[in-house]
Amino acid sequence: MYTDSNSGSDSEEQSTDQSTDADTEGINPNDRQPAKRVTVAELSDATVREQLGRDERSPKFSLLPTGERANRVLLAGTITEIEELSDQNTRARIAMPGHGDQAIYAYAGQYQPDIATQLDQIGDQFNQGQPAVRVVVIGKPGVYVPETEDGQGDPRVQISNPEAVLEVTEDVWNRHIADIAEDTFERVETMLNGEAPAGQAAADAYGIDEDGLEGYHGTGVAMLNRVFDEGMIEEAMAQGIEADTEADATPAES
Amino acid sequence: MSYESTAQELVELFASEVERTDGSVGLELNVDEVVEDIRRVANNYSLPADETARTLIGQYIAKSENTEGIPGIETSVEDLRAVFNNNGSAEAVEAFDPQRVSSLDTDNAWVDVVVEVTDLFDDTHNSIHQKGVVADESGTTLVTFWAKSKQESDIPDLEQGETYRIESAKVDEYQGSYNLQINKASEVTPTDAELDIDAEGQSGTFTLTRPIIEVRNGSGLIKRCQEVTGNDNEGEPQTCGRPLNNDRCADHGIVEGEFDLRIKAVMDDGQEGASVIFGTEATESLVGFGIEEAKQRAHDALDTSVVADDIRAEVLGEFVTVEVTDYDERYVVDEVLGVDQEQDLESVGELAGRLTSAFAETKTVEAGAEAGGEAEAEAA
Repeated sequence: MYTDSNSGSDSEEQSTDQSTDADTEGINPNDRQPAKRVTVAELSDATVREQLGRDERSPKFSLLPTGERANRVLLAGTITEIEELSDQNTRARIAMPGHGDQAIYAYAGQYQPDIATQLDQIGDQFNQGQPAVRVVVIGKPGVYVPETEDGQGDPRVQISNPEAVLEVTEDVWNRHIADIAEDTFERVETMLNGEAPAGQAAADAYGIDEDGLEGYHGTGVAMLNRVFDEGMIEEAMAQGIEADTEADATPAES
Repeated sequence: MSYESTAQELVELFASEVERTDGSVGLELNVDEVVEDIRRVANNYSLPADETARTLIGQYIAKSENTEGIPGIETSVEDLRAVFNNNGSAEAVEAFDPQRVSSLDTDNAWVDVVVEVTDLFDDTHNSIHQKGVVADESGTTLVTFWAKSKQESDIPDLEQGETYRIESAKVDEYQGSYNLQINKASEVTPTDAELDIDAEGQSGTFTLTRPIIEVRNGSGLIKRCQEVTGNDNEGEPQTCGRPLNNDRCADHGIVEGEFDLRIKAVMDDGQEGASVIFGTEATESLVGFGIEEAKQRAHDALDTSVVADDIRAEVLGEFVTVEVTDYDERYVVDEVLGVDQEQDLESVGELAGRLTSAFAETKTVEAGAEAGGEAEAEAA
C-alpha cells in the first residue's frame, strides 16, 4: 500500500491535464489504448487527468484511484434517462447495479452523430414505456469543472467522447459486469500489494487509502450480488476467505 | 545461394581463371561492388543469385575489354561460365546460405531458409497451391506456393509440422511484411534438422477470448480488385486483391471487383485493443451467413452497407473465442471457436473473498497496534 506523500493535505483538484513524462508503465502512445473496465463508483472519483508526454496530441489519461491510467474505459450499465440538451447535444444517464443513486453522464454532440442517433432511438424506447436499456459504453472520460458563483465547483467525470453505446442482451451484459468486477478487484489487490503501475500517483493525487479501496471492493460485490445469484457469490467468496485465512498463519502486514 | 557467397565465388573465379594475352592470370574484382551488382541485377530482372552471376561474368569481361591499357583476356565468357557452373554444382551444399526469417528485408530477393511449416491455410485463391506460416528460431512469416510453380516443377507439397530446407525462395514484400514464395526455381527438401521454435513463435498462433467492441469501416461485403498485377515475374496470374473503395483500387483505378466478406474488428480485453481480421470463412462462421446471403441482402436493400450493419447488430459487445495468427500489426482469425457469454463467477467470487479477508486482516493488525499503543500509554 502506498503512503500518501502529500501527508494530510487535500489532494489538489486537477481541472487541466498535467503533463507526465515519468513512468509510462509500458504504455505505448502509438498503440490503440485498451478500454479499462471500471465501475461508475471508481470512475466518478477519477478526477485527475494526465497527458503522456509534452506533445499536444499525446494521449490523455484519467488516473484511476486503483492505481492505473485509463485513456479509454468500458462500462456496463443501464441508461436511465436521455435528455436532449440542445439540437446538437444529447445526454444519457448511465447507472450501474449496486451503486444506489450514483450515475455518470455521457454526452453525444455534433461530432458523434451515430451515437447521438442511437441515444435518440433509446430515448424513443423510453417514451414507449421500455424499462431501462442494458448497454455497454466505451469511450474516453473527461472531467468537467462547473463554474459556480463561488468560483469552481466540484469536478465531475463524464464520458464526453463515447465511441460506442452497445445495446446488448442480458447474457452479454452479465458477462461484462462480471469482467468489470474482476478487473476492479484485481486492481485493488495490486494496489494493496504496492505493485500498481500508477499506485503512488493515485495515492498522492487522491489520498486513497485502504478504506477507499475497500469502498470500491464493496461496490463491486454489491454489483455482483444484484446481477447474479447472491447465494452463489457468497459461496464463492467464502471459499476465497477460507483460502486466504489458511494461507496466512500469522497476521499479514499492511 | 546468397549474394555474398556468389560474389565471393565470382571474385575467386576471376582471380584464378581469367587468362590474359600476356600470360598473367586474374582480373581483380571488388567484392563489395560485385555484391551490389548482383543485388541490382537480381532485383531488376528477378533472377536468382547464380543466374545473375552468369550474366555478370559477361558484363565484367566486356567491361575489361573496353578498358585501355590492360592486357587482353584470352579466356572466353563461355569458358568462365562453364567453370562457374561446375564450381557451383560441386559446391552446391556449401553454397546453401540460410537466412533467418526475421532478417528478410529485401523485396524480390532470393534466399535460402530452413523452416518448419507450422500452419497451412485451407482457404486459398485458385492461383495458389498452398499457403501457410513457416517458422524458424527467429520468428515466423507467410509462405505462398503458387499453383503454376507446382505444375512446372517437382517441388513436393508442404506438410504441416515438417521442416524443410528451401533453396531460392523468393522474398515478397506486402504491406511492410516480408513473406516467402516458392517458385519453380526453388528447391524444397524435407530435412531432419530440429528447429528450436519457442512456444509463442511456434505457430504465432494462439487463442483469444475477448469482446468485439468495434466493427470497423471496411467490414462486411466488400469488393476486391481482380486486376492481374504485372509484378509477377514467373508469369503467374497474381490478382491484386486490394479492397475497393467505391469501385476504385488504389493501384488500378476504377475496376470491376469480386465480392468478398470480411470483418475488421477490434477485440479488447482491457489490456490490449487488438485489430482482428475475420476472412471469408471466419466471418461466415461467426455471423451465420456467408457471401451469397450477404449479396442477397445487399441486393434486396440496394445497399451493400446493410451487411456491415447486420454484422454489427449480431456481434458487437459479444465475447468471442478465436484462434488467431499474430501478424505484428494485427491478428488474423484462423478459426472461430465459439461465442459464449458464460462467466466464471467462482473465480471472481474467490478473488472478492480474498480481498474481504485482506481488508479484515488489515483492520485486525491496526486494532492490535492501537490496543498495544494504549496499553503502553497507560503503563507510562
